[in-house]
Amino acid sequence: MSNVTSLDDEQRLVASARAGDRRAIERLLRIHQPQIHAVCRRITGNDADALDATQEALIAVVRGLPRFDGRAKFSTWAYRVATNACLDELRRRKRRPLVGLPEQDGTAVDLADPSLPDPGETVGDRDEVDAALAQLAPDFRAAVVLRDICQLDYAEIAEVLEIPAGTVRSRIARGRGQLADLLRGNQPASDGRPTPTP
Amino acid sequence: MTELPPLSDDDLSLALDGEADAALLARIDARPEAQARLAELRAAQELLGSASVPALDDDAVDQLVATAVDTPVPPEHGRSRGQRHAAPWIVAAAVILLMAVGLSLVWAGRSDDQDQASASLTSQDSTAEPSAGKAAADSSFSGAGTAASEVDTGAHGAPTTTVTTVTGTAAVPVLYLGSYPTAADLRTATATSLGDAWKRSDTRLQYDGDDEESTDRTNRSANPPAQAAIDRCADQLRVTLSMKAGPIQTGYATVDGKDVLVYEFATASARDADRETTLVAAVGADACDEVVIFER
Repeated sequence: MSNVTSLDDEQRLVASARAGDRRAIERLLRIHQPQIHAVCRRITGNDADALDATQEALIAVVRGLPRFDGRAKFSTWAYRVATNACLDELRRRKRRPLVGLPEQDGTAVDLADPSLPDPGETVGDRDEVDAALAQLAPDFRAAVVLRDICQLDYAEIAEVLEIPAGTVRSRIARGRGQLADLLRGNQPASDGRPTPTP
Repeated sequence: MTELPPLSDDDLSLALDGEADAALLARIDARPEAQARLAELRAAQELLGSASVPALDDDAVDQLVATAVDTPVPPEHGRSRGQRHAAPWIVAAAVILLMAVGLSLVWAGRSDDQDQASASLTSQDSTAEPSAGKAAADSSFSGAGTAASEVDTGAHGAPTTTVTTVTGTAAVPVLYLGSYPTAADLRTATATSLGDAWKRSDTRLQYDGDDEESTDRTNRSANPPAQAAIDRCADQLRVTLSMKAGPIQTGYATVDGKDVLVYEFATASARDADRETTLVAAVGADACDEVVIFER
């Protein structure tokens, strides 16, 4: 993700940004904005939501700088912030789908439920990849995007998504499998998680 | 000879990422259908990687960066906004409650009869609401074992040991809800109320006649989150979940070792807009990422 010349340079830049140096903050954002936007574009599936999510992610990066402790790479942390912003954007788009709950049982609602219609699917003129990605469950989509677009390894994706590495592997495999089926023109094989009707 | 099970997308995906061991690669090589599927997965991966996202133009980037840098940091705003929206009757009720709890503390502290204090606890614990009466009950416990004046009370008279009133807050106690192996367990524990989880928390202060042990157990349990983190996630959830007001109850817990903030919002039911209900949202304390969200 980074265009800075070395890890040391980035660490210095992050330190300056954390200290409130506006120019350092702006430079940091400009360096990481392209990949943040690319992630957001692929996860949200359309330009408008991607722009909103990118904006939210950049704001969250600035706000979160004081809490960034340097244990993870800045780029990994920024991916985490961006992915969360994207998933938040998708949730906002679905407008709280809290329906069909049994009374008083505290049943969870999976906000990433792929059986729910995705309003993003109505956007026209998407390319083949966008159309196929849009049919994946957001959690599968995020894992595939982080692996195949951002080139993160399993451990980094686990850190970004805050899930175990085994779950990362499974989500990537299922996401890729569904993607391959969709790009081939077939309905993805059932894996226990329904996919939305195109 | 036993036939090996068919290769799954999980196996083939490992191979695609260079994570497959020699045995798995040999199995793939020996199966034409696996090789064909692997080629499909690889084609999808390459198509995804090659389909670049058009870069934003310079003006758009300038706008994004300027907005991000110039957007004010919200924590203090969130708190003051919540205070401005507090209805007068809530303030009055809080004052009355505080006085009642204070009187009960004084009474408990002056009492020489421990049995009487224990009876008071039993009575209050079985009938009172967790956020107020329960706090009073635990305060009675503390009062039985130590001087009442030593109990550090929060805004609702809650001991800051198990019902933490985080520095800077004057309105909402932050309940410690316990430690859970999974989000589902946290969901189950909070299915009815956060107070239930607090009651069942295995680190809840329980007077057993040994003040040192009680204090030690409490210290192990108490790791309250920073107010800034509480406000930040509350603000995000209000936007994300389209809540009209801030949380009515807040707690913290650990899920699989991860620090989690738990909020309870008053809202209309998603199924029946005329029905008042509560929405519980548990999020990671660091990134405000979803752990579990459900409507009661």
